[in-house]
Order: sequence, then C-alpha cells, then structure tokens
Amino acid sequence: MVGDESKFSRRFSVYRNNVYHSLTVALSDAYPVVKRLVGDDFFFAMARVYLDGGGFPVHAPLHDFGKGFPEFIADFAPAEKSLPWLGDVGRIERAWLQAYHGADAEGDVMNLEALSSGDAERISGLRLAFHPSLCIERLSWGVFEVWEARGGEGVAGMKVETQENFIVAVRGIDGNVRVGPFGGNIFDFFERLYDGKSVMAAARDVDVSVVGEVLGGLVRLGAVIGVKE
Amino acid sequence: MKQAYPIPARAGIGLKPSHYRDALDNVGTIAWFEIHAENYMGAGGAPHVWLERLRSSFPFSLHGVGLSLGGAEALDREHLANLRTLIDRYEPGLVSEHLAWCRRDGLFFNDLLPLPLNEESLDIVVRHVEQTQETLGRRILVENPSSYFAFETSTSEEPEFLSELCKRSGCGLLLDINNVYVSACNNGFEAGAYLDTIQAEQVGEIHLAGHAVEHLEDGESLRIDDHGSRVCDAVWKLFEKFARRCTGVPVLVEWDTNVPSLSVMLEEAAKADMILERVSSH
Repeated sequence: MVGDESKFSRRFSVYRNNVYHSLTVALSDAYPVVKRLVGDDFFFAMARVYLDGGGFPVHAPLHDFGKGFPEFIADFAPAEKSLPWLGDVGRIERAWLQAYHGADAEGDVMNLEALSSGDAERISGLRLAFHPSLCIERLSWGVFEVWEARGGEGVAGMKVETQENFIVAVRGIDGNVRVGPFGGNIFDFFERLYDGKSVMAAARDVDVSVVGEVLGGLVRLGAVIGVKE
Repeated sequence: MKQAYPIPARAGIGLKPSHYRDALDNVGTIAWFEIHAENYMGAGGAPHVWLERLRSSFPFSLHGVGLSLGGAEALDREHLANLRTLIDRYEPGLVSEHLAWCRRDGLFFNDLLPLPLNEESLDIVVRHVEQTQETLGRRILVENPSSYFAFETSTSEEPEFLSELCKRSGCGLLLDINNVYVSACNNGFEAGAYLDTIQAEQVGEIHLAGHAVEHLEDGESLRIDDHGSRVCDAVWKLFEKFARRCTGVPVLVEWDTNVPSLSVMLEEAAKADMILERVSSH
C-alpha cells in the first residue's frame, strides 16, 4: 500500500474489523436468545472464537451461516459451567431460522378433518404430509421455556434439567413460525410418519396416549398440510 | 428476456424488512426499490412473500454484494445460479454488483474488500463480468468501491479502470458518489476531479449514502462507508454537479445500518428528486 507501515496496519484493520463486526452481527441476529442469556460482551467474544475456529461462512447468502454455532456453544468451556444447556437454546433458534427460510408448501391444506374426527380406526390408517419448512431437533435439556421467555426476566428462576426431548419448528400456512416441545422418545414415531408410513405403522411401539398428543401437537403447530386416507 | 418494470430516472430507496408494511401505503411515492440479492436467497417464507407482494407496485433493482467479481478465484457458480433464479422470479429493471472481492479459499468474508487496479486485475474482472452477464443473460452495472488505502501495485486510476472495464465487458457503471467522496478524503485526491473524468454515458445508476467519520489512534480521521446516516452536504453538491451532465439516470439513497423510519428515507429521496428536477430544468 501507499504510505508507511503503521498507517497501513491501522487502515487495514478497518477492513478486518468490518469483516468480524458484520459476521458477529449476523450471528447475533440468528441467536438473539443466546445473546441475551450471556450478554453482549460474552457473546461477541464467543463469536470471535467461533469464527477463528473455522466458523466463517462458505456462502454469500447468510441464512445458513452459523449452523454449527449451537454445537460450538455446547462445547464452549467458559459457558459450560454455568449454562450447560446453552447449546440447546441455540439449537431451537437454529430450527426457528431454518423453518423461517424453508421452502414453501405447494397447494392448499387438505383433508385435515379426518385427523380431528376422533375415529381411532380412521386415524390409524392415515398418512400425513408435512410442511416442507419443518425442522425437528433432539435436545438433551428441557430448555423450551427458557427459549419461550426469550432469555428475558423470569429465566433466572427456571430450573433447567437434563431431559431428552424434541422440538419441532415449522412455518405454518399463515407464514408464522411456530415451535413446539415434545416429550422424549417420539423421534422414531415422528420419523416414520415423516417418511409416509401410516399412523398405525409409525406408532407400532408407541403408547396410544402419546400418539394422540403428538398428532395434536403437530396439527396445532400447522405442521400437517395434508392427509391421505 | 422480459423486463416488466424498468427503473425510472428518479430517486429510489433500499428495501428494508422494517419497511415492508409501510411500503404498501406509499405506492406512488416510492419510485423504486433496491433489493439486496443475498437477503432473498432462502428457499421460501416471509422474505419472498413480501417481495411477491411489493413487486406488483414497485420496480426493483437487484444489487448483489457476494459475487466477488474482483477476486482472483473463479466465480461461485452456485451463487451465480441463485442470482439467475432471483432475476427470473422478480424481473428487476437493473442488476448490479461491486468492484471488490469477498471470497477466498472457499470462505465468504461478508465485506467488500479492495483490489489493486492494474492490467492483471482488469483482465480478471473483465472475465468475471463477462461470465456473469452470460449466465444472467443480461448486462450488469458495476459499482466503484469506497477504500481506506491505495495499493502500491496499482498502475491505473479508478475512473480509467472502470471505464476500461465497461468498454471491454459491455457492463455499465453504478457510480456511488459517497464512495468517491469517502475514498477521496481517505486517500487524498479530489472527488470533483475524479467525477470530472467519469464518462457519463457509461453510468447506468447513481448511489448516494451517508458515512461515518472515525478518529484513529494517531489523530488521523478516516471516513467509513457505513450507510448509517443522511447524505452529507459535500456529497449532495458533488451529485448536483455531476447530475448536470448525466441526465436520465436512476438515483438510489442507501441506508443500511441504524435504519430510520421509512419517512426519513423518503425525505432523503425527495432531496435527490429535487436536485434531479433542478438540473433538468436548466
């Protein structure tokens, strides 16, 4: 560059700072609850370590950027001691974002009345179609309430415990992203449903009450967009 | 290729998510919107729902920041394909990118980084612009950067480099007058003299924006192109002078950080429109 060495390094650092600043802002836009839980200074320091450890984006559109951040947070030693469940909060935020940008459903919602018919035999033969924006995440901590409170006041009084559970994030037909918690051990049931198996075939090793709870939860979230009898 | 909504030679503004709703109440007031391409490369959802709604009322200009036209590496074909998809879907009146690089070794830096201006870099940028125009099936505009230092390996002045790029690749120039002013202040040249050497017929669009002044450790001050405030007086004056000899070109007021209410952005656009009217009545 034209000019002396120290002038160069001062001016070069403007570019370097812009790069880190813009990517840190992008991460904090994607993980607002994590940021609120740890505070701005801690978040920015953590983001810097993430970026330098291989977290730079590989694509120009940034909607996928920071996919690995929840895993990174879960192993980030300075956060692990006081907030061992922080990574799971990040996982919910990532699922929300994926549902927000996920593909649109084609066509209208069809035939859902069969699901709410209360006719167990009819329901057991149904195959469900899901909104393509749907995203399911397995969590090890019961952090849904922390996320739901957006990491704000009230979180201090919450007791977060180890507990296998799932969250489903989906953008319903109305365009709004909804996230719902589901108790443990439903993943196989859900996965079989998602693969197009009938309710009966999917639920082969699942308690009847759980089946009703899961189907009701998925319908309330707007995750089911079609039913085949 | 159909172009349903050409950009009028008036002042437009950048489209911000916080203004989506208000925009629909200002049909007829807002002349056109600039859309940041990378913000609309997700598969679906609200961003596209809003673009679909707005496109029937406003012409769009598609402005990319992630193509890395000035990078030594090959262009990212996936990114080019994404641009093409957006263009086919929203039929923008103009498509533009930057004289800058932002990608290296497979990583994206999310900033417009500078390149030395010489024969070698001109060859690369010409090749990249040609490839882009071929893939997109249309002419693009390339924007002059704001810079914080000049390279010892530069052998060409920026206006000359850009003019040569336009001639060889067939692209047009997106002249950012705030960038010219920021670079001029930071690197010690005259912004007015730079603008005097721009060939008006190559200019397809003008950008205006605000910038920040940062004071470095040694007391030196540096202008930072942050698009975070109103356009400064010096830039308005440069714009008015340039607009006298470059008529019929759309103007954009950019505002990307500390985004104000839509009405403040429209005030800035109205100022630009007043200047356009004043110079055209002379």
